[in-house]
Amino acid sequence: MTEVLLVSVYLFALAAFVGLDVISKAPPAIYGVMIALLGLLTAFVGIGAIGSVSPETSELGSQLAMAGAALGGVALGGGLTVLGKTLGVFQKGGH
Amino acid sequence: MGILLTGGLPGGTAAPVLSGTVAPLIYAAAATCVLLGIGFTNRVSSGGSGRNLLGVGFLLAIVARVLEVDLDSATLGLALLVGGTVVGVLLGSQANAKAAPSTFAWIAGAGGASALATSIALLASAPEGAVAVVGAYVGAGFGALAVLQGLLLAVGGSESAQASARAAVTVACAGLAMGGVGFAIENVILLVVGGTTACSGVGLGRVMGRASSRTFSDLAFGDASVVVDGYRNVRSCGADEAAMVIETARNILIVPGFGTAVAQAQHALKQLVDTLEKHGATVRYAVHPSAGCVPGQLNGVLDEANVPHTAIAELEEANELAAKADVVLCIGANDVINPSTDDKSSPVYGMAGLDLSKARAVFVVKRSLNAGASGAKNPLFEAPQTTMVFGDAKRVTQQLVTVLSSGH
Repeated sequence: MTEVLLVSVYLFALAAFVGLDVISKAPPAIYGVMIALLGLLTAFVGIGAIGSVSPETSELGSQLAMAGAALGGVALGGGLTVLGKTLGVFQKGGH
Repeated sequence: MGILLTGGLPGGTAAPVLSGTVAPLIYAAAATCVLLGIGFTNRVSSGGSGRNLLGVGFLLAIVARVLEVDLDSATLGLALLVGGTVVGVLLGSQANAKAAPSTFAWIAGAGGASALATSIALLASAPEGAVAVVGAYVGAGFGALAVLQGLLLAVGGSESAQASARAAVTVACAGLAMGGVGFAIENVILLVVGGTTACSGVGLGRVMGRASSRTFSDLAFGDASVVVDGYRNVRSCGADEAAMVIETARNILIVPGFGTAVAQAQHALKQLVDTLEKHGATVRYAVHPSAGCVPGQLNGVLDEANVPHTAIAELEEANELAAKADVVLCIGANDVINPSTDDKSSPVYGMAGLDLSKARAVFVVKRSLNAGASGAKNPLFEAPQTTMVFGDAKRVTQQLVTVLSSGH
């Protein structure tokens, strides 16, 4: 239990440092691209919703988990589309 | 560790057969794709590859997740995920191409709502262990915050710098919520992406605040504007950062001003234009008839650097070019790019105007925000498409040449 927690905290902190390092190099002109990218990343939580229901879960809990998966999908579809559009503005001739 | 990498489930969901060996490897590949994707997207030129990598990372993470839970319990969730994706694509396709903060906010809000719903579902599954319980509560709490913030921004529809900072807060909350869910279900990809997203959201807010000469908290929650030398919300960046955007532009308009002549930057400017043309860009000069201390001075200065006369656009043509330009680069110009020529209270009222309001991005190379010869304030410096590059015209131009020539 403690080992799992420590590894979890380690991974979380390591990812946080990597994210901070990468994002600090972003120029002001592409802040929009970076926020769109981060919005897309929030969609990953939908993966956690898949299969998170157990036999002990109530009907409401099961429905919420399914809603979580669907909302994750909304963030994924919206994130990919908007990130593509935002990047398109900066592509050659994308004016 | 084994439990972590295989994503042990609270509440006794059936253990998958393959997950012990295959799923951890796929999760590791997915995390690698995500981190590389973020790195690639940090540069506009490789942003498309970054987006594709993120998509691959997501697919890999789904495969790993399906391997670690039994397929029966995952089928409905997968179907809803796909259905939600279609809805998201439809909503995203309606969004403004320049994607206002409100658009980013509803996407992050959807991610937060997903975390909120998943966390409550986990709590309803009677999770075992303090970490799972605390993680689910953290997921629910920050998920609710992300939803609230996302709704407020999406309804508000503002495009201000403050709204952008608040969108970054929304993303950070959604990232923390994802991390909470990751702790609760001991899922490595949620921990990695949640940690990255949460910290990146805060980090992005900090660099946005720095570029606006404010702290993140002031920008997001304080006074909506800050006054520097009489200007509000002026954005600035260095030559390296400007070069990252300029190198992606196809149509570029250069507006040299009196500062170009003072700094003797014309030769460096010609070198910059040659470099951009080698990169495939179409570059034109726009010389305002009033630019310089006497009419025609800038034409003479550019002539000295062997700039062909055909590359120089007259005012009327320059305005047409500016409207189509991906980037307008103003070097040592001030009064000639002042958009207040219709404002009777402005000292530049009545002067023939160079309209840069329709350009996608405007970079103004200038030593400071000090007024030009007219003494007039220049609202272009506060415009959302404008980024100041403070420094000597010749030095900044040379830096741009160096960065663009090196390919970085």
